[in-house]
Amino acid sequence: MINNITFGQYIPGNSFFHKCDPRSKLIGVFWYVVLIFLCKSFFSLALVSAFTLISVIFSGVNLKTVLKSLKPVLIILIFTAIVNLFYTSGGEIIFAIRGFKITEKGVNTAVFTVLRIINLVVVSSLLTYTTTPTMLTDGIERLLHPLTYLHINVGSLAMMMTLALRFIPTLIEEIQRIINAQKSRGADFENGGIVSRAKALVPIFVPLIISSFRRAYELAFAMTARCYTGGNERTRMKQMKIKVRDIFVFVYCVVLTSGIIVLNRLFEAVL
Amino acid sequence: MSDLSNDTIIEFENVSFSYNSDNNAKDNEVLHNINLSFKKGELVAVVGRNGSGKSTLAKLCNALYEPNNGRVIVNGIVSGTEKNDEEIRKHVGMVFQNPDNQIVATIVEDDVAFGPENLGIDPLEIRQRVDDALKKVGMYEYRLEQPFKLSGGQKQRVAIAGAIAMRTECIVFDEPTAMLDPLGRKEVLSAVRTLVDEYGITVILITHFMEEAAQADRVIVLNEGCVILDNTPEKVFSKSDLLNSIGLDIPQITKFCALLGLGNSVLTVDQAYDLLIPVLEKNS
Amino acid sequence: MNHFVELKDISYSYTQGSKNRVFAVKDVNFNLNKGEIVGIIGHTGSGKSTLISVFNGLLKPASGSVFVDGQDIFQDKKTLYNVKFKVGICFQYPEYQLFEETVFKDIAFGPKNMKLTSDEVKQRVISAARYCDISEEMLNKSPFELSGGEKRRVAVAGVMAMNPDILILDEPAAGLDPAGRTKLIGLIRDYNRTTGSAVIIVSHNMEEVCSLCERVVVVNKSKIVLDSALDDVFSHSEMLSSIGLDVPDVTKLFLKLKAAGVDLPTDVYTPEQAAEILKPLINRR
Repeated sequence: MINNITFGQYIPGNSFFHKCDPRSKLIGVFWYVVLIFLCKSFFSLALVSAFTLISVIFSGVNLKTVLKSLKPVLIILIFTAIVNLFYTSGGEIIFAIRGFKITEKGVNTAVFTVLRIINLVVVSSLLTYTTTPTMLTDGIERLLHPLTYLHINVGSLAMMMTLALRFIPTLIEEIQRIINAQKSRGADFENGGIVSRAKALVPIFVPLIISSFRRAYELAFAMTARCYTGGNERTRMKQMKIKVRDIFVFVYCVVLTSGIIVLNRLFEAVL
Repeated sequence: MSDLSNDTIIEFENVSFSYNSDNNAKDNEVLHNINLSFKKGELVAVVGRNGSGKSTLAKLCNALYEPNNGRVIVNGIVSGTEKNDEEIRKHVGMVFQNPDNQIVATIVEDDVAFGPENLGIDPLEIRQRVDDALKKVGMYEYRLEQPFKLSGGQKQRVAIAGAIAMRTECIVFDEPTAMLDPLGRKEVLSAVRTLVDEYGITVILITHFMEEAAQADRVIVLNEGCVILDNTPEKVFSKSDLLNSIGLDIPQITKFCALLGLGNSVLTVDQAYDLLIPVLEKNS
Repeated sequence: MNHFVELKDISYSYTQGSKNRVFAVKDVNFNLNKGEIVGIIGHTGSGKSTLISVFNGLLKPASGSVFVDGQDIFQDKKTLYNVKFKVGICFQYPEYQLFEETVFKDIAFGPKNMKLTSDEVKQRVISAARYCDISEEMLNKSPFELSGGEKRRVAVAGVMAMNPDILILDEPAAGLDPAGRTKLIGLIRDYNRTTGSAVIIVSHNMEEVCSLCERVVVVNKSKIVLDSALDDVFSHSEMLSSIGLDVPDVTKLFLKLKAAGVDLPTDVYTPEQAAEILKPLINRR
């Protein structure tokens, strides 16, 4: 069951992106997301999609796995497509039935938005596929380092993120265990109205919360025993260094940016 | 300072402890007036029923708790101040019962590095220590795995590596095998043995498996917050009536040998075998 | 002949549908009659936990059928729901499922789901509490104030209160101290004798199973490799230790002595039995 969670799952590998510094990947993805939203025409979006495809190749993750990451957002994709299809008016009417009109502009907007979301999801899952959660939180911690001057304890924030990631599989397992135990005592989660269904969750959430507190309490002891104080100057086993390949990530983004600016100027906007 | 001889690592001096320290009522006390000393390189087992105070004892050893009365002294450092407590934790590491609740990182080697990172050690040295610690517990080939994919015994070995990587001289194990299956128990126990025999680390092993305690150099029996026996396993397990009366067992082999009239200090299958084989060969 | 529970050619895989299927349980056949007390032994990952989840329909096997009380439990939704009250399962570390304000309410959770009247529920709680040695004073306490051993007994009582025809306990004594273990095992034995309900204990502790069960089932690599009366089990001692099960220490000793050429039986598992057998051999001069 646990093996089905593809979201945020790191895939060990030795690709170009695996070797990149998490900071450059984080900035790169952020930049990329902005670019996706700057696209105005199909031509610029096509360029982004081409770059996304190249990125997939550079990540060494096979296409099938990448497509799998779209599965959880499939409903969102369909929903956006439908909404855009029916509620955008303008342009030539392609098809009409019982007052619902599908216009040329509607089709364009639907396709455009769906492509945007696909690019968005693929690029961000490439980040989590090629970066271990530890490296990711380390990267975020270092990028946010300037905030320490505002007396924000970035180290503790990053530690909380690491712990949250670490305990997701453990808690999923725990929930499953509790559900099985309560089902075996005749708990019914499937029938009844909203109120009785909400009530049926009490036997799951009370034990879950209690056990989470117990885990947190034990974890605090374990961390204290290993000299974690939350405030100390920690060192890191894994050092980060910006290398030539990281510069390439920036060049990549710059090229894409200029390409989009040019294409946006040359071609008419879709939206 | 106290009269610490050089070979003592942890010393309990008239230690009492209760969880709600505000009302120092005697009936709330979990431990009463404990005097103990642990020698360097020893494997000491602490046994007792649930609620006998053995987990509390463990947490006092590395300053996770402070005694209400008396002193806990580790390598000459008295616990109780923030600075001393941190220093003590560099000497005494701890492995807890639930393997899931003591692993902090999402990758095995990152978890082992956690302690040394907290100590502010140089990155290159951390790398060395982590690799070394993982090799010592036989988990080196799993260094890039995600902890939740490991078995219980493997997780506990990762936790042990986490303590070794801090270069602790003593590791306190708080019922490390209680949640494991027989295979996991064997793995952890053999790792514990290696720590003592090959690396000279002092081990305090809290357990309620008498077969595990039988493998120690010394067994301490706690009952209702008091030390009632503190001796070699042979001497301790020969007191089967006393142990039974406080809800503890003796190892099956010890019971068997006592029934046969072979004395009551046989502890392991191998000992019994060595004892029986000559007699049986002579008679056949 | 009709058994109360019949598992026919059960297979189950956690990677249902994928190409490289790994079976947690494969082609298992198992029967159980009312009143029996059976131990299921196997190490982690042998498939024993999967097997018990099939008994009350928590997992639906990929193939094969499960009959309880003559009915195919997967025939319709209602049967599938009601089978939970016929086959009560108490999972590992059951104290972590407690959630109510009082011990009484928690034990009453199962009977309430059975839609019994409040008088009947009360009756059920009181008798289950008696089986698990839970005092009246304890019934009004919050389950979270109790000690570990007491919480465990409350959780077991919560399953017993449904009056299941079969009570399945997964590692009931795990984590308890020796006295707690002995007490719980005794209570389970008494429950089996007084109510006549069948009991299945899942464990990797051979000594525990031996002290309680009349019939022992050994699961290894998703299959049942042995299903026999307790006294016969240890005539397979060599096989048991070869699949990595922790046989009792005296059994280990006898196996070792036998390997050294001493003519000894290997179906021994208690110190008393063992001493009885060896005494004449030692004192013969």
